[in-house]
Amino acid sequence: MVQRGSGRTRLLLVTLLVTSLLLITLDLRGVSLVNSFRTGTQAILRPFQSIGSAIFSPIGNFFGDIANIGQANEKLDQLEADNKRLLEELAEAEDIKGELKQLKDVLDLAGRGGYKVVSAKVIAFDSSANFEETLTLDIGSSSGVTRDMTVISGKGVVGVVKSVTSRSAIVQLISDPGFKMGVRIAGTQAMGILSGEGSSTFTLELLDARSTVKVGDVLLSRGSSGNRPFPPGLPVGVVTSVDDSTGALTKSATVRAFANLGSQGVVSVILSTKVDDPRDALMPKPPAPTPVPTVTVFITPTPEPTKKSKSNQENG
Amino acid sequence: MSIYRTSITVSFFVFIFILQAAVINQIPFFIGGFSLFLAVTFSWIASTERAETFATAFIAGILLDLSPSLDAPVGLWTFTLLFLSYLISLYRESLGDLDGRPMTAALYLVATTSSALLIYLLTAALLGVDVPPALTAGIDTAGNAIWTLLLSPLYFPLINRLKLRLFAIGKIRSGG
Repeated sequence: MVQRGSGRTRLLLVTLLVTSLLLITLDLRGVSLVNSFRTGTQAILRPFQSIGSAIFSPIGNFFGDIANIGQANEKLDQLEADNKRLLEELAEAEDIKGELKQLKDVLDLAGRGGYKVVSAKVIAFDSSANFEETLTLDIGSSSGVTRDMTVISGKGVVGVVKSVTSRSAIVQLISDPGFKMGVRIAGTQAMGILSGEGSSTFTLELLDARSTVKVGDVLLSRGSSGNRPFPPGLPVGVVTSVDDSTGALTKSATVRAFANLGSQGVVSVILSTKVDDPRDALMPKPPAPTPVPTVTVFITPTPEPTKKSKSNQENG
Repeated sequence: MSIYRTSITVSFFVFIFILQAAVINQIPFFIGGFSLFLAVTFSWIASTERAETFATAFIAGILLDLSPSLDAPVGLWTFTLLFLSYLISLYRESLGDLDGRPMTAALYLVATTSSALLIYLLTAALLGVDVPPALTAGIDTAGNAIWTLLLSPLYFPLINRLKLRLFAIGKIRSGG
């Protein structure tokens, strides 16, 4: 049922409506007095809002957490996924960094030796399946790799190519028990045979029992006929202990390889050599000695008092 | 409307306005928000005379227009509430006494608060004010309707009793 008001009530309604329309018009025309009301309201409300926020924020946050628990779980899942991805990327970056250093070192060695090399990535390391120590490379005959080519790292000899397919190559490591190579001691040029033992150490047997060997001697490859499989002068390892047992027909020593055979990511296969024999030029440089800081003491002598100043002191 | 009743109405709505800004607005509701101020306004004018309805709507509208966070021109809420109060006054007889009918009261409050929000948005859009997208506005309005409906058993009887008591004190003081 529609109720009709009296004329006075209607007049009140019209007056109030006109007032509201007038306020809207004034505001739209940018009258600052109207706008300043809101600023004043804000100033009045601020302390109440601060108190309300201090009291009710924990409650509000509690309800907000309940309301957003699904979103929080989603966000947590997303953050965990991001974290996992970033960790993978970081590990990959570290891996690439390590491989880059290895590649730089091996190319540096190849450059000094004048070798034409092709770099390869190690895709498998086999040391236990059939008691053979081998690496599998991601390059093969399509990259010019053939059997009996030398494989080097930035530190020295790693092994020799044992078998090749078009896109892969298996390398017999120098640590393989069946591996033997001719070496010479840098400096004395004493020759010997280095044998792998399936571990990180090797056995050196000198060909001449009268030759001398001592701990720290560096072994270089003696070289093969036609530089296959080994070009001469490549760093192989360092003598760590000498067997001085009397009665032995030959002198023997234990050798540690320069190349870290278990952690090779990138190696190079020597395709050809330019220099006949670099002699001892490829010997690894000894580590630079740690500089010891020189202590300098400055002494400034105390000036002696003059006669005049002495007399002044005596007078008072 | 006497000076006493006007001052009581103004004081009460200022209190509700501060309560809305300081407390209700701090609560993150699951969906939309809840305008206690609008709910209280329509609860208050549900049982008042026509002239007093318009005056109350004007007071409430002016207070809402003074909200610092509003971008709409001052006077728009006043206009909206006056327009709705006029519609309510036209159909007051049909509504009857809401105090004893909580469901009707709840539906009345949902209808009036939602209409107020929609009329306000529509008018604001017509005046060139930036309004939220239709979906957002719809969700906010629906959220407000839900909370108004759910909380009406709490505030509607309270407002009615408070109003009766406040105006009864006024009658005793004035000897009426």
